[in-house]
Amino acid sequence: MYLMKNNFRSKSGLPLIKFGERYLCSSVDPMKEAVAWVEKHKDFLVGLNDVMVLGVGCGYHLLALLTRFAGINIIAIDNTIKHIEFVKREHSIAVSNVEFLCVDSLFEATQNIHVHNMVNKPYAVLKFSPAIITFPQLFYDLEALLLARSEQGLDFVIKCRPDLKNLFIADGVRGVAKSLLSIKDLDARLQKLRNSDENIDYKQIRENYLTIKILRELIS
Amino acid sequence: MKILVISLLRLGDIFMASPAIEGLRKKYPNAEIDLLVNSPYHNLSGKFFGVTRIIPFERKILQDGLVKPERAQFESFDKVKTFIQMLTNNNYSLVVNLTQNKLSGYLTEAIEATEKLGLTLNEMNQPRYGSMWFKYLNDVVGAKVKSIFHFTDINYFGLGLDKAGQRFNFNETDDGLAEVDLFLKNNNVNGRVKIVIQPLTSDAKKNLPIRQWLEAIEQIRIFDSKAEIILLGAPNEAAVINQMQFELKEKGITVHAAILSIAGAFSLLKKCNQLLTGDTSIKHLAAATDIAVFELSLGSSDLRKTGAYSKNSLILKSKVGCSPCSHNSECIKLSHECSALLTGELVGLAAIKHLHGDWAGLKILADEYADEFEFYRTDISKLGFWHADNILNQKSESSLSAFLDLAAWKFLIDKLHLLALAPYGFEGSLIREYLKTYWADSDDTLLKLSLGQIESAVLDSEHQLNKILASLTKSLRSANTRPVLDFIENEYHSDICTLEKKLQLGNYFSEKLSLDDNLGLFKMRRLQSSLSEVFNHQQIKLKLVCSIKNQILNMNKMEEL
Repeated sequence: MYLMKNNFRSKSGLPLIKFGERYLCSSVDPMKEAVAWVEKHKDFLVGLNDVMVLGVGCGYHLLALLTRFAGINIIAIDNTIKHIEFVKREHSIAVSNVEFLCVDSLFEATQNIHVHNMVNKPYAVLKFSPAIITFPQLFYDLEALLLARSEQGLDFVIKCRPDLKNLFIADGVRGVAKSLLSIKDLDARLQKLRNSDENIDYKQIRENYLTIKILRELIS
Repeated sequence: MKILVISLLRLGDIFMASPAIEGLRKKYPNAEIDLLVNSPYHNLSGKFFGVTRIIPFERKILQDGLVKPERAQFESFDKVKTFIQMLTNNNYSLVVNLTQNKLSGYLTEAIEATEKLGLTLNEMNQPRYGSMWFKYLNDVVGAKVKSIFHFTDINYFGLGLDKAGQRFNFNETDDGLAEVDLFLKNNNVNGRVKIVIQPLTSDAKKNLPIRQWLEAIEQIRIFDSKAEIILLGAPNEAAVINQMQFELKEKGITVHAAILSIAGAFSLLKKCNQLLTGDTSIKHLAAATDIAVFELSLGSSDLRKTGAYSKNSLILKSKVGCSPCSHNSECIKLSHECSALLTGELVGLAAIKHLHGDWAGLKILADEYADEFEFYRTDISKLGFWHADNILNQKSESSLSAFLDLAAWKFLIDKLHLLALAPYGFEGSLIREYLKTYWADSDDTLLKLSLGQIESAVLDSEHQLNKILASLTKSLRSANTRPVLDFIENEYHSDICTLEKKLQLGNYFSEKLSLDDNLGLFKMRRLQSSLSEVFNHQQIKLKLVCSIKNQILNMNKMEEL
């Protein structure tokens, strides 16, 4: 389907890879581009320690991220194993703590234990646009899934997080959650969860309820 | 002991929390006091406020997390939960909510603590206040009742702190002092009289147009050629301040531009004689100094709630019908009428008279401009609360009645009327003593006459309230809702509205009279409770009036003897 070459160098002398006719990062100065990308997204990472990066590309943006936010946990996701191999080879020591995940479908992403663990706490999902040209639609769907901004994603995140299940069980919360989450079929979801859950943690319901109320006030 | 004080509104509101914080520090000298504020203000120094630390509430980040689709659905949810957990882990013995909005109510409820004061809202939206004063803030102030207590007093009384111990206190910082010393030295400001003008506020509705400020400064210069005039502004206001300085220089008037931090502004105020401003924050900073404050109460500034909190401040307010407007809405007029009519000449003249303590002159000025503006003089009564009187009506029945209204509310909220020996006599003597400021002994006849008229009006209101209450109670005893509906729709609706208007109670009763939902009976019970409360209030007012009258009578008898 496509031809990948990995014997190119940028004007600044750094090794690059190409997908078809397009480089997966800047052909002039990939490090400068990577630093600018991190700077652009730094607000996403305030108070967070976990991030999923969509698009591995040539890996310079991962280096820049690790440099700017020391100790950050990264899951780097791509659909091309050769890109991942390139990054691991070129930046072996620097990216040793990065979890790489190669997926062809949303289902694969939902099966990964590292992803499960990450969505259990505050996290961000960042897209590196030059690197997602290999299969843009997959990356857009992955983004919606991992951010829980799609129906499937909401299902996935709620399954990973038992503390959130109650969010949709408390009748009083339903209306609030509905307007907050902009998801149309919460009623069906509610019914499904109601049938599946026998133990309801009322303290947790109360906490979730108050949190939702606070959030609602923040956007009212 | 650890205490958390929540103040999640604007900078002026944080400064207004100062007497409450100071009172808590006095009551619990060894306590660690944390102050929770919106993140733009968290860079303020804890030392400046006299608190252990300032905790930021990241409102903007949380809002971004909610509305931006590229953020994780539960990012803000998780951040709020983590934040609440962090506050709970601090093991606060007391959480004080001085914000009185839904957001702070839910947040206060979510934090685990031994005791909570101020509004809390639980998961069923049920409010709890922890003190009758915060309930008063919600029910009475929220219903737009005319005669109300200053927010500073409500916060202070709500915490059950030392009687009449309200004191604004900010601590000068080394940085602030250094800033001011440098400013004074560089500008060679060494005149005997220093007037500070802060012309800009963060809310355009509260601003007097620059042209009028320039006219006012020209006027001040005509009457006082030696006073040092200092234009004060924050760093983001430097361009406007410098332009004003330039324009005045073109006219041969020298003024100094002071672009200072908050700590610097406070240190400057401590060295100056008068402050002119429409800004809320700076006037509350000034309350912790001896500077004379002349406030322009424009736009959404409501002097009854947030007026300059010090004795003998002058507040100038427009009489346009929409004043004060809402904080959150744009001006409904083509131009800001409240400030457009306010000439620089008037501001300048009033400033000079106020600077020299010429209240008689101010009264003449107020009389001249009575169609368009009101002049208020502030005071802190012997009963321990702030109030502002229109200087044209200081010795009037209406002003006396409004003052007695406040005294009676305080009596009622503090539940003094329930004591076996309710201190009507003592409170009456304090009021009598206080009234001497405005009603000299020679005016006893006039005072007695006014008290007599107030007594008659109160008796009349009391009678009407009693009649309505008896009828409503009878209707509520019936199991059938029809009599209640009849009560509202026919019998007493207009009586209640008339009474509400007569007592200047805003919509304290009428908000419970609408039957647009299924809460008819519930609302009627609330109406019954409000009527009872006002009935008690009127009774207390009557007893205070009688007490003052008796004291005047006894005094006269003693003089005769």
